[in-house]
Amino acid sequence: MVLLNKKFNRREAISTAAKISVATGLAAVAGGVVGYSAGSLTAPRDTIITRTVTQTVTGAPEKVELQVWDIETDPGPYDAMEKAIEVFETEYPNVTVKREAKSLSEQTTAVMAALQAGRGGDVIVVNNGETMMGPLVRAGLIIPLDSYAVKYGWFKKAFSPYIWKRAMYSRDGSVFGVGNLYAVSFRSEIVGVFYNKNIFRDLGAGVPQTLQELEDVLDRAKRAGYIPLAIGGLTDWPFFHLFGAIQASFLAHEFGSPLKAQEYIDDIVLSWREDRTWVKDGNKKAIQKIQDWIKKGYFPEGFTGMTIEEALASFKAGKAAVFLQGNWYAAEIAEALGPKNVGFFPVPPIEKGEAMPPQIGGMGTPHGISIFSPHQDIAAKFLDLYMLHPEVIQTLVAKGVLPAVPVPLERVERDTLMYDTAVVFNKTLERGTMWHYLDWTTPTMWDTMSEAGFLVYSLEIEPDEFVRRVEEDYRAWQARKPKPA
Amino acid sequence: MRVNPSKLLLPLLTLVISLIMMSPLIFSVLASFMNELEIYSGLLRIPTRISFENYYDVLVKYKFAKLTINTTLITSIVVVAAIPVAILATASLTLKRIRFKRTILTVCVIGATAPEIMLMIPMFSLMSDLGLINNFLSVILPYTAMTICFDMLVLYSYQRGLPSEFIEAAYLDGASDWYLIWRILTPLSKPAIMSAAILTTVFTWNSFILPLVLLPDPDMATLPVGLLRFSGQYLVNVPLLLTGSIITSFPMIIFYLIFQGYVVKGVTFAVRE
Amino acid sequence: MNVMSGPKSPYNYRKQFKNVIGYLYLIPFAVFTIPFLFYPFSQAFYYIFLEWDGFGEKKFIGIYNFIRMLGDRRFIEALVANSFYIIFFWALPIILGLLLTALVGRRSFLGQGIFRIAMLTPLAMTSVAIGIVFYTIFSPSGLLNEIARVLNIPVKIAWLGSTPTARLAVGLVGTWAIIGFATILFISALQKIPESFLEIAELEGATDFQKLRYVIIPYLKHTIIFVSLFSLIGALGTTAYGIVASLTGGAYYTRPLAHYGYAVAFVEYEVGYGAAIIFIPAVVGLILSYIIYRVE
Repeated sequence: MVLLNKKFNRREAISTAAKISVATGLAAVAGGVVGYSAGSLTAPRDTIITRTVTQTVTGAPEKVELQVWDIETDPGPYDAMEKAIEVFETEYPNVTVKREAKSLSEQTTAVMAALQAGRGGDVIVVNNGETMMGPLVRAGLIIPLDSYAVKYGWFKKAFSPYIWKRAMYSRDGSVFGVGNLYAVSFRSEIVGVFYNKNIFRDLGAGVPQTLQELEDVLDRAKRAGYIPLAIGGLTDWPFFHLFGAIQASFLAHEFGSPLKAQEYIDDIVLSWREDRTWVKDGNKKAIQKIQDWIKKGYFPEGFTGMTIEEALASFKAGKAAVFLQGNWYAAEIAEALGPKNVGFFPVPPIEKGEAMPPQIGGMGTPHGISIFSPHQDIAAKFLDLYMLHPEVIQTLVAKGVLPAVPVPLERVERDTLMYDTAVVFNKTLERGTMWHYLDWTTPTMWDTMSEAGFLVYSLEIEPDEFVRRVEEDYRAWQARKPKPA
Repeated sequence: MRVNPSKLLLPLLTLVISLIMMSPLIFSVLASFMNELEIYSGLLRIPTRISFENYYDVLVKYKFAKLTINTTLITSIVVVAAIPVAILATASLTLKRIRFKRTILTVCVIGATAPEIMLMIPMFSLMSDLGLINNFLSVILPYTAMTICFDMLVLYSYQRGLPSEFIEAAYLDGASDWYLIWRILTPLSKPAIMSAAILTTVFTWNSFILPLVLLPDPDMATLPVGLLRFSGQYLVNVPLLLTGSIITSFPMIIFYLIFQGYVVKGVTFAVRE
Repeated sequence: MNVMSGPKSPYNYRKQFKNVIGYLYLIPFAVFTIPFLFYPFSQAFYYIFLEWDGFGEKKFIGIYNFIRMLGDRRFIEALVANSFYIIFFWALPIILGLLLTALVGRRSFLGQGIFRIAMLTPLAMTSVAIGIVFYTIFSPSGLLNEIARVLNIPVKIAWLGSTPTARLAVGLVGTWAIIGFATILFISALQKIPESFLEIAELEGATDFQKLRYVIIPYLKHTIIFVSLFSLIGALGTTAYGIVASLTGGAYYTRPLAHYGYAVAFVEYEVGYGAAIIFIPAVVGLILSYIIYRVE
């Protein structure tokens, strides 16, 4: 009760501050200004950072400062974001965009602290699923973007209905993957296999069509003295990609079709369905496969004590045949080895003739709009421009980053790494099968799976035990997950 | 006295120890001139080229020059502001018979060791209510408070070990309380004040949790926060990160070279008979 | 550093002053610390009794968060790692520092200035740089394996990739980070021991070790206490956290409590439980420093 009161008081204080700010604004501007859109959702922050007068009716538009708290700190996306801001400020001269970029975990904590105080950026990072979006929706701290999506035609122009699901939650925050749209991203991600074309030529290998063929290439690379597969086991998250990719192949095989496998993973990661289980042959076989590869020496010596940065450096140096990772590394790799010396292929199916299994990927870490933003319409305009403006898309593509829209292949030079990643991504979009990042499943899955993954790497646990641990985490979440109101 | 073999051994031994202690710093300077691959193939090598491009990029493109000014400003205000407050408060503990002395000292231990991570959320709400977000005061005020607590611990234990004759004599001469504190006690405690100031300078310089959340404006950031700019979601720019680290540490190293004598004087306490 | 106990001060002039003024001197202290430190601190302290995701409603659950720790395997693991770090961050620097002090004694020697500066360099390095540099020592292609290869010693390659060796690595980095500071303080405290004490010890034919045991350690008690406080804060809080985060990327088997608490609070969005975990090392630190003072 005390808490509720406190919350109420804070909101009240904020709205008082808003009134004062509007009054100041009126006095200062002396005419032309009617006020701000006083909807119940638009409780503005106090006026220290920004003068909060948004909507103008007549006369010159008011000066507005739009705060963007993003996480696009990797070089390519960083530049594209800067481009988006530049273009936006040119198109809307009354708006100044104040960008505050931080890497994901730092920005997440900053957003949390700011929202508690009823402040923060207008545009804020809203990572998918229970990693951020769920708690934010349940607390009513971000606004649904559906009306903007319709207005700007986002659903038609970008991604695919399938990918959009990942930025959706039911209004009460109890179900992931359905309901309202809460965030958008300007880039796409796809995980696959980077391969060094020179090494493949040396080995006389082509693009593998089955997992067994991939294994054969690894074996030949091993015998030729290369690192077959560059991977760093000390960094925890690459395991999610390695396991997820191979898991998708095995499950597509087990279910008999990629779509069935997709349904399975959707039920688990998005819908947290009680009747689904991790105890599946495909999951066990994927772990078995990883451990086989370790035993056969396909991973770098001592890889459990190696970071992803070092693994990437070894691939960039031309020491490793393949590197199973996301396209976010494409620009760096292309720069190091030459865009035509590296290729990218999807993780192959189990048997020849089988359809391409689902590939891990989706939208980049998305951004939404804070409920405390006094400039929600302007923020939405910004999101539209950042996602769809041709100059921004061009900047992304030039930096080797996949944009939110399908890449027109005819505009990309053939036989380059960018071309390959675009092909794999477009194909995945078409098929409507895209594997999830498994850490979204439950709030504790990151920890559970990185610990279990480490024990898989060090051969301390068997596939059965791995699956048991993940299942245990999933069951615990069943008891704890948000229930529809 | 026996002939001591350490006459020759001692310089040698301490030289080896000195090298071991210093080598990480030397390595990190060398590594800032290398590319990633060179770094990962072991640091026991001379960089193939010495180029200050990284330093230029970090200072200018990543605005570390500006961040150095910010950090210097915050740190110096915190350290300087805390000292008189701590002197006065400690005087009440050493000169006066007050109640709750132990409680106050315990509170100081809590204050000096409070986990910043947990303070972050309430601190943001507080500073936001005061309208101080993106204002250096939002960081200066809490760090000054923490620094006061730390200073008091150092000062109190130093002053307890001081011989009482000076103070008694001054008192018998009819010196005022105020005179006693600022003209007698403070000069006597100079070593402790200096070493507390030096240590808290380093603590404040390197702290980053409060500036991270309370100064979201990138132009207001401090150096340790600025270092985060080199690790993105997936990519870590190791050479730039090292370069940034060296730029971050450099003023502290110079600071140490100048003041290293003081670090030790104040916290090595007078021997009690 | 006689914070919590100790004999009554011998000063008799204190009685002469009006004691009320003593409280006035605490006003500036209170003005800074109460609103800007202890008020937010009390709010943060309140979190440990909450079930709260950091965004939504706060639910008061009493001491349940502490009960929950008992059954949390990951908490126990972090506790074990942290206890292990205390040995390396606290005990080892002090023991080795005292031995080194006994060895160097009050002699002046060639390279004394360099020695002093060298011993203090770890304090001036950022934990990021420390992490990167030591990674290149412990990594599979790192210095340690290189030396082993040259000497033909078969060793385990992935130092950071298994629980005992990774914790050892973190611990050794911690020892390196603190030992210099400890030693410098001990050596300069040693300069203050009355000449006669050491002379008598030498006349009586005391060995270096006996001098250490019966003369140096008793006289360095205050300094040892100060260094203990400093290194305990490091082991339980930021120093260990920073080293682990940058050396192993926070691999779960190397996490100290503060790191695990951070992950729980801000990755898994259990701010209440995370806060409770973070408070454990803070409380342990407080208790340990209390014990240290009592021992004195």
